[in-house]
Formats: sequence, structure tokens, C-alpha cells
Amino acid sequence: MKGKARIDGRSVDCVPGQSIVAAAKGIGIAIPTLCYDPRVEPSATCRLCLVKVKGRRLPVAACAHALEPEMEVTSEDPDLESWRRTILALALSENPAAECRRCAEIGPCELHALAKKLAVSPVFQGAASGRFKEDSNPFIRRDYEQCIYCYRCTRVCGELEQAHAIAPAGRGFKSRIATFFDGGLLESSCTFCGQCVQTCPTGALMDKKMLGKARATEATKVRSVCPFCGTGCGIELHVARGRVIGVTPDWNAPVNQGSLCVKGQFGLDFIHSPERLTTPLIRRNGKLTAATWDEAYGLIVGKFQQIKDESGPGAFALWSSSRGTSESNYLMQKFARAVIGTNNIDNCART
Amino acid sequence: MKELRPNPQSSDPAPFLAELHRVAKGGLLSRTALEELAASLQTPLADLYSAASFYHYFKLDGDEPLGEGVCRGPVCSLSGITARAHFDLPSISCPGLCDQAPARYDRGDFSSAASSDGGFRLPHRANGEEALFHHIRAPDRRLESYRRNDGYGMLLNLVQNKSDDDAFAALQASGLSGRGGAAFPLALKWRAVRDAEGSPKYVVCNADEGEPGTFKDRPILHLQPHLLLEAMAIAGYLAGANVGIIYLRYEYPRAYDVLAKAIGEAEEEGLLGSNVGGSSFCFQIHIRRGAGSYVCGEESALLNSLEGRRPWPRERPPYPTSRGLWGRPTVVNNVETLCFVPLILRHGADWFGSLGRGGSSGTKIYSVSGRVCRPGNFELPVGISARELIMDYAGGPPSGRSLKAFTLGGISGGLLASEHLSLSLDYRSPAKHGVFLGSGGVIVLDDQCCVVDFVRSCVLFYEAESCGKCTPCRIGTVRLRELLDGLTGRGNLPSGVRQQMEKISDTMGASSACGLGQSVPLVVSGMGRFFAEELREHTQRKCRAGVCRF
Amino acid sequence: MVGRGAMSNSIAELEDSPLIFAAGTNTTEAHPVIALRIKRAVARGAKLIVVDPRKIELVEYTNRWLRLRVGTDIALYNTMAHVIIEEGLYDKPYVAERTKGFAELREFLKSYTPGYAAEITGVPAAEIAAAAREYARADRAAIVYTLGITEHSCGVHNVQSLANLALLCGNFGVPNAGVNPLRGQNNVQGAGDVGCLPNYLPGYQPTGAGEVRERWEKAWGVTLDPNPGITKVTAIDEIIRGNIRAVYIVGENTAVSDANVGKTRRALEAVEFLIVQDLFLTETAELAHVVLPAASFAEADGTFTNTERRVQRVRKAVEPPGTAKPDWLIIAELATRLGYPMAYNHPSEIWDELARNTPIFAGIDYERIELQGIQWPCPTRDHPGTPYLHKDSFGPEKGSFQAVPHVALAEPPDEAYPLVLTTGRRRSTYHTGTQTGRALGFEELVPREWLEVNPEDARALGIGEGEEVEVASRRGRVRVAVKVTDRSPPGVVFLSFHFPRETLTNLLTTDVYDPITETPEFKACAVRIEKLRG
Repeated sequence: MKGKARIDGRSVDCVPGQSIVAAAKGIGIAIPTLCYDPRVEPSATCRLCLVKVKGRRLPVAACAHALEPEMEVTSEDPDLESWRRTILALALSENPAAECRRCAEIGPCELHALAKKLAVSPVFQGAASGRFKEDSNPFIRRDYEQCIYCYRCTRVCGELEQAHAIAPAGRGFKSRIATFFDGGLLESSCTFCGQCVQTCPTGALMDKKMLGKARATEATKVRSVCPFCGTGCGIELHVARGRVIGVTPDWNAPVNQGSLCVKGQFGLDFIHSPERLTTPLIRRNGKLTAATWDEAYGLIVGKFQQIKDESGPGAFALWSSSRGTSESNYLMQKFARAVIGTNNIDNCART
Repeated sequence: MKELRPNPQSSDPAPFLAELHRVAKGGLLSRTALEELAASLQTPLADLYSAASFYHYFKLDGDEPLGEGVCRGPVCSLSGITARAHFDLPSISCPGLCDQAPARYDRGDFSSAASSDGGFRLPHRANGEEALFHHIRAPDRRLESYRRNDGYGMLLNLVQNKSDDDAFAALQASGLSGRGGAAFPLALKWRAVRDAEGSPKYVVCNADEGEPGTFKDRPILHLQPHLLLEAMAIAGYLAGANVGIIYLRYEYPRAYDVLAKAIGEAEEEGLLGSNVGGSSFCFQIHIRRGAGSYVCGEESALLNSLEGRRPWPRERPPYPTSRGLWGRPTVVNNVETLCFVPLILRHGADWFGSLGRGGSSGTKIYSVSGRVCRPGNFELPVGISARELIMDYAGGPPSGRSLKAFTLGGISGGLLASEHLSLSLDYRSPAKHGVFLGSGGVIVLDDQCCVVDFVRSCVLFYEAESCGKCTPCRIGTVRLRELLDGLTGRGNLPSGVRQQMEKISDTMGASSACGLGQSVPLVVSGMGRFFAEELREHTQRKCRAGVCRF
Repeated sequence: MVGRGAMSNSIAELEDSPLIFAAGTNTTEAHPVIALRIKRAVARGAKLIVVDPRKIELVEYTNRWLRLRVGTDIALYNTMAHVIIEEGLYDKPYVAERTKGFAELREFLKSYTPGYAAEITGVPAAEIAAAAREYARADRAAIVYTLGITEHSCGVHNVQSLANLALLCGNFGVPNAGVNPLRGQNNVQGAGDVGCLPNYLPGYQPTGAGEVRERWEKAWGVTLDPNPGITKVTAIDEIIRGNIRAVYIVGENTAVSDANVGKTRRALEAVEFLIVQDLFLTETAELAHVVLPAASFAEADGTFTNTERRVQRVRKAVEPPGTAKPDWLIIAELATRLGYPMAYNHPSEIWDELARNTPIFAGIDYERIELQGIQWPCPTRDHPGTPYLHKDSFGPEKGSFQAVPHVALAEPPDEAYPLVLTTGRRRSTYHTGTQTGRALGFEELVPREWLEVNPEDARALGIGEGEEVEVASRRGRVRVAVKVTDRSPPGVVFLSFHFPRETLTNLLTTDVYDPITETPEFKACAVRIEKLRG
């Protein structure tokens, strides 16, 4: 099914199965979306990505339709703009920007960023559907007052993580996002991978650990890699006032593409644990007591020289950390080989 | 949707609804029952809960049980008595007893003021030639009686003579198209399924007419079961399917018994089941009852419902002809459409063509309800005028009253005024007014009715039945209804109400994910175009019919 | 034998693999994000074969689950190879062009009939044959494995018997295939890559290789010992013998994570001088003479190399607490004080020194991996990195089949210790709990350790859900609550090692190790369950 199509008059090569949204993105045309997460099957619920396709009576959802050869797609015109603005205004009627906690504390949410970009104001008023759901789990705040029912969370939970902890329940305007019989996440099959939080385009699902720590404007993001297993998921550390206040996945990381598991998402409190060692310790009279670096280095240097002189480099064993950086590991083996003079260097790969 | 849960395709092609009905005690699904069911169907708990909690007639532990209810839908509310006589009963969605309004629900059964078995009410007799209703007034609906009139003859002829090509030719020549609303040519659809890759293939009969003011399939399902069964078997034979499923709306409980009995009779005589008529063709028909959901009448939502998923409509293409039930090629046809098939094969395409008027083929069942003297079903030529149907056959408004408005396609084909009575009811003419014949349901309003209040009740129906999948319909129905609340004295009346309604309607029509949301604007825009003055009066808190109280 | 301890292919490739063969890997718990790829592959129609004695979550995604007895992997894979060869399902041109030792392997495998393997593994003969056919007939197939394969006294042979399958079917050197160890720690790959191994200089260059050694001698300005050093496992014995007097441990809680940890503790308590450098006062640090406070990953610049050989940047986000310092700085300062100046201004300079002298890293620098990591080998600045290894060849040699025999468990169950204990991980805890044990809320997910016991065994022993019992092996005993579950097969019990303070699982495990890698048999030792009195 190879061939060419046109989007807004520009010629595009068709890749079998590639959606119109993705194909447009490839040539720099950003079709607005809210329910789209390229990692799961499209649901075409938000209808913002509607485009006109020549020969079709009704506009089609660009996220859910493949770009096919000979298609002529229009992604921008006054009709489409009017429909998109009305849909966004309808969404805002339930979820006004002023009340969005994600925007305030974590960073602009997709909904309000898009509304701002398209300068859409909340022209409609009326009842809101969702409710705040008290959920005693320690990680995920569920405030469905801010939900726009794009169902990204339920699709990510079902299709990507395959946890099937949450799903849409009820119907229509009274639809809700629910676990089995509306219980808490701790009683469900939730793995707390946090992917629902990360895909959520509003403040409906939020990382409890990040709330109340800082204003969004204060924080900077530092790209890094999760320090747990060997997968090497890309993460972003949110830093404010000299502290890591939260974690979000790196959406551009080739390994995880925005996914994380419970450890990487919620398990980094150890960084600022009050139990962290802050000074060297030296055993004095059988007890480990605080010391200065000079004291510690002095003791080590004396002892190392003594043992090396008496027993040679073969009396040393150095075990490096498979949790540390490659640079520190490289130095550790260089230290063993070039400074001590032994190949008795190992890491914890075996155990 | 790709999921890992196993397709329960074993012996039962669609076990979910049947199982849910089996374990629902008095309509109530307990936590334990769902847990056991999830384990046996290998479905995640949250997903089963998601599907079960969608339907009106499944209540879950902790919900208010539904014992009794009354219909306050667009038609029943016109009768003017529901609000008074049953004001403390909860509302139910239109159960298709619009010709006997108001309709009531009582613990699994539906009745009307007129009778307790309104489903069996006979259609009115027309002056012209009837096709579907030709034998419907025969005193019994047993197989014997059906066969006396050459019943199953066309099926047997097909399976024994393997005259597929002739049959397809006849169906194509007849121009028979879908009578459920979409009017897609039937022969094309069946051929597409026959030629599609993938197996098994399925025939699904959409017996889930939930459109307010539409009850046209009701007499067939209650009184002519064998006609439908024969039609489905023919569909199976021609499209290459061995399994048929009737998706029967919950609101026709007695039709279930009728159909189940009929299937038993036919199987006993070798007309269904294995080796139909002694041939190698096997065809098994299952009945699945819905559980209260208008959107399940939309074919892709219906298929999701059968698969035990949340009955949300699917994005199309792909169409069911290539990816239907369990992703396999599937024929989905409405009851009325299917039932024409044996008749066309028996009498020929020319005969069928001759039944129509003004260049249209065939007859159509029209359901007329609301403010007319003789509400009910009429089988009349496609192409008959609205005036003939409403004023002559249905007797027009009660004496002393004048016709103000009428709808097409139940409420989803649009709203017209008395000046449109000369309109020809066919598949082309209504489009010039931006409306559609649709299901053939016609609701009549007289001068005592308020158009704005009626439109509000239509939007309220859509709101209650919106599945919640797509944003424009999920929120749009509510915002429209709130604006109509304001116009009918039930709430605040914001400035710019008409512009807001227009904006929402226009957007819903273009952008909603399925026919439900796309249809909502028709009644709203009909009100704006043909009843502008009456609408304007409401913005000034005046109701000429005296229905709305400010 | 081909390859090194790294994935031959890439994580992302799994998603488009037509068949995934998951052996001894509880991926959904140990590598949840890699498991996402497997789940998605299955959703897209890929076949999945799971080999595991335990009914792990992956089993839910397949109808081909080979529930072998613990420690019988070689018999299973040898037999699959036998079936593939005898039924002519192997990739004949590939075997002819790119491998050696086929005839010998074929001869060796004669006795590995499905019937024979069924007796050893407990997997029905027909199932083994069916799995073999499915693997061989797949267009491409990716083998993934974790410690269920390597943490055995025959770990290397386990891997070799898996590699034979891949060689037979031409699954090396193509995308979506290969033999892929999923490694357990964030930088276990990097630590080995950069030479923290007693027998290898950086980049897997043997200590004895003259030319290589000379290069490093020149780079470092010293003379290097050509003889390999000793592993950690051997070192424990050497400490006890008094031959090792000083131990310097960076970031490892070895006093609870070692197999037969009782012995490790005795050694560390006995050693003359122990330095531990860590974030916390771990069980190991408590035994030290000097403890050095280190910076965490969030407090230092550097790189981690993941299991698919991708070198990725970690960045300093905050200052270390108190006077804690990055590991590299501590080592450099210590070296300088010991008379060997190490004057690095930034870890990038350390990387550049490594890359200059290590062919597999030669093309990688911080600038190139600023946005996205690169997979080694990357020999030059214009090389894009290597998503999958062995594309055109296995290097100078051909891919060599290894005839490896099935061996029994090092410590089979007997009358005194009738059950097999196997150990592993749980999703929401990590390793010895030093870090996840400090993550707020995690106690609500996995509050404590539990012993997974098959209902049959529980009935026979008269123990019930939640009951506190003692588990004893020849080396030690621990107390733990029972979870009755069919995740464990009859005769096998399971413990993680995440809660060492309450349940020090490794007091039970055996330190009998693989003779080549010296990785102990964490995955099987004989135990008995004792009811508590009263």
C-alpha cells in the first residue's frame, strides 16, 4: 500500500498503517489532539484531530485513520477551526484553567496549553460531571472534576501496562473512570506504574508526591536515567529549591518512550532520605563515628600502604558498584590496577 | 481494539450478555457474581464492570434497584399524563410502545396503558399491497402456518439448488437497501462479506430498535418469527456464515420467547441447525438480549456489546463487512431489511420494485405516534406522501386540533412543519430539507404541543443515551439540554442562547463519533428553521402552547 | 559461543519480534518496562513461549508455558535443538556459512530425545517438540532471559544451550531476534564494560593480551599485571584464609545480597581493613572500618549503560547531602593521596580517557549522547551505534555450537531438606531494599517478605495462609510468613531478598557457583519448612 497522499497540499509518502496525525507530524503539521497517545490504539474520543478528506461526507479523526495513497487531507480550514474551538470550549466548560492543579504545580497540562494556544475561552457554562475521588493510595491523586474523559488512562492501563485496573464505567455524561466496583487503587490490579498519571492531559490524575512541593514555574527539569534495573528508562528529575521534587518519564527516550514502573516513578525518595550518610565514618573503639575526609583518607592511605608493603597488591580486593556510573567504575578498576597494582577488581554482577 | 483477553469463541459466539443476564438476580449484579463471571470468562474485573455498568437494566450492588418506571420520552411525554399519573416513578428509556403511550416498566416487563402485551399489537391494514405484513394477521405464528405459505421455501430452494448467483442477482436488482436508517444496498453488503477474508463469518440481526417513535420491527419479532429466521439463514448461506445472532432489545422480553420457540421448531424440522434441508449447510441462530441501551442499535456498538466490551461505537472504516464480530466479516442487518429477502426471492425483483411509488422500490413500515387518532404501524409504499400517511392512514390530529410539526426517522431524521406534508417519504426527497426518512418513525405534534419542549425531551433522550465516548456528544448533549431547560422555564436562560445552540449543534453534527451524536442537531436545527418565531417567544419566556411554565 | 553479557539485540526490537522465547525471566516484575514490549508484541500477534517453573505473570500472555523443574534448562534446550536438527527445521545455509561444530552438536544431542527430556524436566515430550517447532518455524525469534538462567551452577551452560537454538535457526545478526540477557542493575552492563572484572581490561580486552595491556600501560603510565585477578566469590574464601587483608567496596550491600551470606558476613567481620562507600549505612557498611559517604545518581554527572548496550547520560540535578562526594571524586582523591595523581575536572574527561583506549566506545562522547544514548560497539565518531550484534559475522571466528550436558542441581532436595527454594524479585521493591525501602508508600504495596508455597505442599505440611514459619537450609534459617499460591509448583518454594532485616533469605542460599562466571546458584537450594512451636 505504498504511494503518495497530500496533506494541506503537501505531498507525503504513505507508510502502511501510519495515522494521518503521525504522517502530518512527520512533515511538521501539528494537528491538535487530546486523546491521542501513539503507544495505544487510537480511541478518537476528543475529536479535535478531525480533518477533511476529499470525497468523504464527514470529517474523519486523523488519529484513527491511516493515511492512504491518493488521499487529499485538509487539516486547517474555517470549519475545522470552528469545530475544534467549540469542542475545546465544551471541555473547558467542565474543566476551567483557573482550577487546574497540574498547571499550577507541575507544569502546563495539555488541555489548558492547547486552549491557550488556540485562544479558546470557556463560552459555555453548566454542570460538571466528575468528582474528586478520595483514594487512599500513596501515589496517585484522582480528581475527576478535572477529567475530560479522553480515556488515555484506561487505555494505557489496559493495553500498555495490561493491568486492567481502571476502565470507564457508567455511561454518557455520568461516565466515570473506575476500578471494579469503584474501589481504591490499592485493592485493584494497579501496579502503580504511574503511566496513567503521565499520559493524563489534565489535572485529573496527579503524582501525589509532587503536589504541594513547589509552583510549576519554580521547577527545572534535568534529564537522567532511572537508577534501578538494567532497562535504563529515561527520566526527568524535577528540581526546585535544591531538591528533587518529582519524576516524569522522558518521552523521547528510545527505551521507555514515556513509560516507567512503580520504582522509577515513585521510588526515588531515597535521594533526600534523612538517613543519607553526610560525613565519613571511622570505627573508633568498635563504633563507627563521624570523621572528616582528611581523617578518613589519612587512615586509608596509611593502612593501604602498610598492607601493600607487607603483603603486596594481591592482598587487596576491590568491588565496584554496578549501581554507580561507568566513569566511577572505570576509575575504580584503574585504581585497582594502576594504583594498587592488582586485578582483584570485580563488581556485583555475580551476586 | 487489540486486547489480550481471549476471544471466547468456543461454542458460544457471544457469551457475555447471556451470562450477565443469567447471573443478574432481579436485574442486580452482585460483586461476587461478577467476580465469578470474570474468572470463568477470563475477563479482567474492571473491564467486565465497565461493560456491565453501561446498561440501564443491569444494576450493580449499591445502585438503587429499578422496580418500576415510566417512559417520559419524546412521545410518551406528549401524551401529557405521564408526569401526573406516575410522577414519583423513575424514568425509563423509550421501550417502543409509542403507539400505546404512556409506557410503563414493572420488574422486567413492559406494558402500556392500553394492554399488558402491547408487543403483540397488530399493525394497521393498508389499502395497498403488503409484503411483510401479508400473513401477519393469520391466527397463529407456528411453523406449520408459516410453511403453508411457502415459508422456508426460498431457503430450501437455495441450499438444494445452490442458486447463489440468481439470488444475488435478484437482490441486487430489487435495490433493497437497509431499512434501519442508513439505507445501504443489501446485496453489496452480503457480497462484501462473502468475498472478505477471515472466518468464521457471522450474520447479526439488529433487533435493537431503540429510536423513539419507532416500533416497526416489533410486530415481526412478536408475530412473524419464522420470516426473520428464514431470512437470516439465507443471509448465512449467501454470505458464507454458519452462525447467526439476533441482538434483541431488552424492551421486547416476550419476543425472546417467541423467537426461541420458533428456533426450536425450525431446528426440529431440519430448517435450521446442522444440515439445513438435508444439505451440507449448517446454520445456528442464537438470541442475545440487550440490557437497555439505545446506542447498541448502532451496528458497531452492537458488535462491541456482543463481545462483552463497553458498547461504544467503533471508528470506521473498517466496516463490519470486513471486521465485524470478533474482527471477522459480519453481515449486520436490521429486522425489516432481512425480512424482505425471502419475499424478493419468492416474488422477484420486479414485484418488489412495483410496490414502491414515484421511482422508489418496495414498501416500508412506518410507525406513527404522537398526536394522531390511529397511532401504530403501517406497511406502505416507499414514496408515499407524509400527508397520506399522517392524515389519511393515521387519522391526523384529534378533532379540533391542527397539525403543527412532525418528525422523521423517529427523532433522528429531523423535524418538519405542517407545510412539509406533501413531502414524499422516500430515500431521496427529504434530503432537500436536510432531513432523512431513517427508520420510518413519524411523531406528530399538534397545536397543543410545544415544539421547544418537545425538542428538549428529544435532547434529554440523547443525553441519557449518549455513550460518553466522544467529547462533543458527551458534553454537547448536556449543554444543549441545559440551554433548552432555560428556554422551557426549567433553568437559567443565558444570553446568546440560540447562537450557543447553533454552535454546539453544528459541531456535534460534524464531529460526533457516531450517528447518535451526529443526529442530535437535526431536531434542534429544525426547530430553529421552521419554528423560529415560537423559539424566539421562548427566549422571552412565552410559550404559545402553554406547556412551558415560566 | 558468541557474544558477551549483553543483549545481542535492542529492547525496542522485541515489539516487532514474531516470537519471543522468555526463559527464566519474570519480566513483568523484574523489568516491567521491557515487559511492556513483550505484551505489545503479543497483542500484535507475536507468539510467546514462557519457560519457568513458577506461574509468573507472563504465563497469562501465552498458551505455551513450559513449566520445567528447577534447574533442568539444559535438558530442555538441548532437546529442542535435537528436534530442530532431526526434523530438519534449522537454517541450513546459515549453519553452513556462519557456524562451526554442527556435526559434533548433532552427534552429542542424539540422546536428548523428547521422551528423555520429559522425564528430567517434567514437561510433556509433545510440548517440548511443539515449542521447538514453533521456535524454529518463526521467521525470527528473540530469546530473552534473566537470572533464572544464569544464577545456576551451570549458568554458562544454560546460556550456551540457548545460544545453540539461536545459532541453529539463524537468529543472530538479524533484528527482532538474538539472545538477550535482561540485566538486573542500572549499570551492571557498564561496570563490566569498563573493566570492573578480574579478567578483563575495559572493553572486554583480556588482561593477558599483550598489545592491549601495553596500550593501557602507556595510557596509565604503569606496568600492569597480566594475570587475571580473583572474583568476589573467590575473594570471600581468600579473606577467610587470610590472604586478602583489605577490601574496598563501593555501593554494594554484599553482606545481605550474597549467596550463603552467613559466610560472607564471617569474612567481612574477619577482614583486617574494610572500606565501604555508599549512600546509606547499609548492613555491609555497619561492618566497615571506614565508611565514605557517596553522592547518588541525582548528584553526579556520568553515564549508565543499559542492558541493550546503550550508553546514556545521567546528570547532576542537586547537591549531595552534607559532605558526601561523587564516587569518581572520592576514588580520584584517594589515588592522588596514594601518590598516583588523578586530576579530572569532570566525568566527561574520564569518559574520554576510557573511549580513547577502548574500541567499542571510541566513537562515543558526551556531546553525541546529549539527546539520546548510543549502543556500543561504536568504533568511530560517525558510527551510529549498533542496535543488534553480529550482523555480518561473529568476528574473526564463526559462531560455535557448544555441546553442553545436563547436570543435576548442586543441592538436590532430599529427605532432610525436601523442598527446593528458588529466589527472585518482586516488582515494587528493589534488591536489598536500601532505596525502595525508603520510598514513601511502598510499604503499602509489599509490606514484608512472604514465602510462596504450593497449596499441595501447604496441605501436606499443615501450614496455612499468613502463618509464620521457619525455613531452614544446611546453611541457616529464617522466619517468614506463608503465602499459599499455585505460582509455586509443588515441591518448590519462593522467597525474594528484598527485606533482609526481617528475612535474610541469603542465609539459606548456596554459594556453589558456576565454574566459569563464579555466579552462585541463587535459584536452587534444598530447604525444609518448620512450623513454629506453640
